[in-house]
Amino acid sequence: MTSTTLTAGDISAARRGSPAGRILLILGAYLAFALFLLLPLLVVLSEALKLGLGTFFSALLEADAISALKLTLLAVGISVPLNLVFGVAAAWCVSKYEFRGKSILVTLIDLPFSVSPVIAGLIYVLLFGAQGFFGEVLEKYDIQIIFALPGIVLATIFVTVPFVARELIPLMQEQGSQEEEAARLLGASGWQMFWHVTLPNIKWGLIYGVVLCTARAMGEFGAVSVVSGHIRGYTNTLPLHVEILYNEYNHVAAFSVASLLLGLALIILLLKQWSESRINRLRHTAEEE
Amino acid sequence: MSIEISNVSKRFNAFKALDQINLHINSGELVALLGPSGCGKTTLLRIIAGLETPDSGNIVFHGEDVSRRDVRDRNVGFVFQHYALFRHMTVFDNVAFGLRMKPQGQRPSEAEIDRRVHELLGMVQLDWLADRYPEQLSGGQRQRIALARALAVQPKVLLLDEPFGALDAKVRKELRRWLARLHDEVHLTSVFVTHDQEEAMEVADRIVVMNKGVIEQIGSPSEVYENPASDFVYHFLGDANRLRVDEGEVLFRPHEIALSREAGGGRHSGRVRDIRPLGALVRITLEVEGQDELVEAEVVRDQLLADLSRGDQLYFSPRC
Repeated sequence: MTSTTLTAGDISAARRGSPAGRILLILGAYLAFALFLLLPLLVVLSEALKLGLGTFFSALLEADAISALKLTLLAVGISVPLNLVFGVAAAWCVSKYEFRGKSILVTLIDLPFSVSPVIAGLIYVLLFGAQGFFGEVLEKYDIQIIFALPGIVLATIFVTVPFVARELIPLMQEQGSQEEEAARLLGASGWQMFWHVTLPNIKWGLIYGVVLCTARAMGEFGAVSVVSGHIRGYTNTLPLHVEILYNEYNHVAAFSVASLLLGLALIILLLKQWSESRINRLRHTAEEE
Repeated sequence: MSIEISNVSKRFNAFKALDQINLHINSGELVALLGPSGCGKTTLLRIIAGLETPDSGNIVFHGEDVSRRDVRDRNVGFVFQHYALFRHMTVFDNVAFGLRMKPQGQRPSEAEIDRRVHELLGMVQLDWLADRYPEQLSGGQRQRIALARALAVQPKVLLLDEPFGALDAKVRKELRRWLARLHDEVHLTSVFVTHDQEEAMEVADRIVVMNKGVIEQIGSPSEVYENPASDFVYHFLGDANRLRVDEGEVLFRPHEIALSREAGGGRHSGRVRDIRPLGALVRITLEVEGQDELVEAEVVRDQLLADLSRGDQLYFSPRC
């Protein structure tokens, strides 16, 4: 309630400011948006379609592109559910229990935001590569992690770990644990409590976190680039495939594949917008209480 | 069902929330845990419910030690201060929750659940709200739904944490009387936590006055009011005047006073600082020479007061 009235107050305060200044600010925002976001998007699309739809689709339907798309979807399909489980578990720990080292855990969850993805990839190479820490053991049992799917998935997970937990922790802290306690008192088991009380309460926040996580997982370049080995048709994800095509001066194909990523991103953006509006509605009703 | 609390202690890090609490609650009794915030009353209630584990001591329900028993197996009804209704469920689903969570075999049929929920909603006089969501209800309505939800699983003990704390004064009074009436009908062993002495006085059979993690006094409302066991209880249960006399000080309540226009008879003198009508009574605030603390008198309106005005000289004597 208070924050809604506050924002309303802020808006009216801004309206009372000089109209020229306001128009200038809005124009500036639109200009920056057009220059830095819209223009590049248009360039991608126009470059992709420069030689017509035929070339565009043939670039997308080429075997290497298809395998890159498959690999990307597979990596996303493995890493996002794992992050979902981890994120919910971590958010639960942090918001419902008091324990030693809690602030360290919260800081560690944020680590992937501050570490460069390339470094993250390197860590895995140093751990699991042929000359790495576990290299000998892995070789003995013939397990391939680096330059293979497991490495790509690991790198993707590392980079996207914070998204679900980060979204859920404030939401769950705000909600407190009284509804869970009430459920327990009414005889619900741990699982019943989670399924009937906790999950419905965090549903939209969770979807939002998963959407962000998916977007990041799909577009991840740096960390995956280090561990993938760029084997065409085997360990190339979509962003890596774009890079290879571009380096081969095959601009049209590069931009075609890029526009595929762009399309996926737009779908995710819509999902994000939708889940965000649901969260805001929830927050709103929570504040009215 | 009776509740026996023996030697219960609880610490939160360095803070001693409860220190060796012993308390016996009779079957069917309505007991108030009364004390200022931070006195440990809510912690004690949560320990009885099983939401907190005591560091030491035992909780016994009707001869059966439940200290190590999980919350969900204690069969207590609990009403939270802010109700903790499930926000994404309708009123009906909230009340039905406890019945639906029962393991298969004990779970009543949907038709039976439907009947029981409507019966409970009828009891709290809110049957017409069954399809609403908690956010669409007023505070008093939420409170009663929370109570219906707690009673749905037919608990043997009912625990209420500041049940009227978040309501405005008028609704609070109504609900208070309603709860006392309900208790007379259902006769469920009930414990409620409050910081409001008036509320404890009006609703409870017995009052447990707590301060800083220990029990100061246990007794009926009139016992604790008339024979307070300590200075703390005396001050907490009502307004008190402190008057300095030669040997020490005298404590008396605002209504325990005799006023006069005439000096003599060992009366103390005071200057009228404020006059406030309080319905049947009038509160007169007096400044007394030789002490900073003011003396308040609550007396029946009579001839003496008819033409009294601020700055007048009055003479008073405590009647204890």
